[in-house]
Amino acid sequence: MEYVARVEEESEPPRTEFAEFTLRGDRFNRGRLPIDALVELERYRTILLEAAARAWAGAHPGELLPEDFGSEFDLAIVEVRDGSATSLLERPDSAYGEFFDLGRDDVERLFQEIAAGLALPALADANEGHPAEDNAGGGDAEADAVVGADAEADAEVGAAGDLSVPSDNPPRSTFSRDELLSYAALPAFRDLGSSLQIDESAQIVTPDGQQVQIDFVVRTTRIRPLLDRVEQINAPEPLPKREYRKNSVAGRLVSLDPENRSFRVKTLLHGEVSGRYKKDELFDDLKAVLNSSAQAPVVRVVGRMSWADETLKRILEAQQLELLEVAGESWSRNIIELASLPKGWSEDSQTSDVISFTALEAARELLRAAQPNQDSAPGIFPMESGGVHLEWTVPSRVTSVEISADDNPEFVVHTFILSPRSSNETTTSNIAEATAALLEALG
Amino acid sequence: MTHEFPVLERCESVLVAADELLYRQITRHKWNEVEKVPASAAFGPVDADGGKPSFARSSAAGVTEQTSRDWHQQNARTPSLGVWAVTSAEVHEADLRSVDDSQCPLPPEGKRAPGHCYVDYRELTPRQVRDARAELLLRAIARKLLPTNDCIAGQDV
Repeated sequence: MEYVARVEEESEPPRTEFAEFTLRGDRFNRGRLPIDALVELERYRTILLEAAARAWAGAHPGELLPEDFGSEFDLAIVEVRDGSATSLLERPDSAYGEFFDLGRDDVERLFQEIAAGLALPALADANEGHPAEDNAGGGDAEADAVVGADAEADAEVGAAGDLSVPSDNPPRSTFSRDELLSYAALPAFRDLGSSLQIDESAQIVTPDGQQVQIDFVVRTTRIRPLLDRVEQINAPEPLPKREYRKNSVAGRLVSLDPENRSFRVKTLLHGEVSGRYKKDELFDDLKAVLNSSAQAPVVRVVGRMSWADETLKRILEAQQLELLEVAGESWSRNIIELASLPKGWSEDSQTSDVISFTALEAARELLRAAQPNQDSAPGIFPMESGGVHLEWTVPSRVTSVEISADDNPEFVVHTFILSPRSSNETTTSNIAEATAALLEALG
Repeated sequence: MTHEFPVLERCESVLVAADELLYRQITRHKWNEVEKVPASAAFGPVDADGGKPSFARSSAAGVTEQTSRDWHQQNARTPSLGVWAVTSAEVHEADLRSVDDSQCPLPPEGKRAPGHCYVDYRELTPRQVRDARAELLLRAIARKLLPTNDCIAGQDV
């Protein structure tokens, strides 16, 4: 809508017609403006001022809003026209006049698009970029579905101007998701029109002269869903339930802080985790690990831990520490994976034990011994008892070693040959004997 | 290798040695990722099954490698990486027996896969178990991975 400047008496500062805000309904007939309804004008003014401030900020990035910006926005009702309560608002001429006008145009366009059902799809879009860029991508299915659902309501509301576009390019809000979220955060925006009765409405005029009504239907079918969606977006993610229990975790020791009795471990399954200890001997163990000559020392920490959704959050108190030296060998990752398995890891048994570091070290020795003789990679499997099962498979033969979880592990070296059907088995607690039996079996 | 099998329940029946495939689901802790083959333990018993590892009969109504795996994905704690199979004849050759228990009352957890059967490892010595499961593994590898949707890559041995 076009507004004209009006020059007042010399004693008054010049003022400019700024906007029209019309209240419709029986209460407002014959230009009557009940005091109760002034709150709607105040809300409208607040939204306009916010939009103007946003326009100013856009032109002055990084600068603080001038202190007198709000006081300069001195709107006044200069006339209440007959037929309904149409308030003609004027603003004083101001250095910020350009931004006040830009803000007003934005607000009028905002309500035009809301009434036309274009705002909600913009909030449904995961892309937070400018809507013009969003449109280039064609929009997502959810947003399109909302537009479709809105078609009926559009006819019912009969509100905004002609925003129709070809059906293969559904109309979208010209406001970005962030802009809409920001407006929706304003109490004045949320409550605009809330004091009106079911048969009353507020009406504003868009920059291109279209009338936009904010009535009961628009509030319930357009603004309410928008606010619900905003609430959904802003709702904090529910925090996972924390559990505190004793368990074990394996990983590489990253740092040690004796002053705070704390350390950090980089784990395979849970990322980097911090931990604390109380006992002095734990410090000695941790220090020994850091000073060890191993290329890549892996530790298993046993103690009280804080878990959320099966993810380790913190080691509350380390009570035991084990060291596993894992060099950069082809099977190192398998060894670390097995070392990282928590108690109850098996799909078949919730009481399955963590894998013994002694068994893992023995497995590593056997793998090193067998490697030069083999082209195929062995399977390295955890056993429910906490032991390790190594296996070499070729089409006619299966050779395996089961290593028990004991401190002095027992080795069962087993070979099965399919044709002619035969098998051989050696049981020993001597790793040298086990190695010899394995090498013989592998041929 | 000979041994005595325990007496079956009245609701159980031994499968005849035939070409019928018995499907077995392979999970990640029994899978050699490098060589793309299962562990022999995948075909043997664990403590929890009491010497009766579960298989599914291909002859049962509506049971295919795909439906068998689908049921596992929906009901088991750990997803299946793929389906491998042995025949009831191969089970028999390994001095084992396969038993259909689909007509028995449901187990305590209240669910059982369609076409359920088990391979009977009860009363075997540890060495006999190792022999038998290794034999079944080699039979399954010779047959190769059975194709299902989203399954792991095929194996080369």
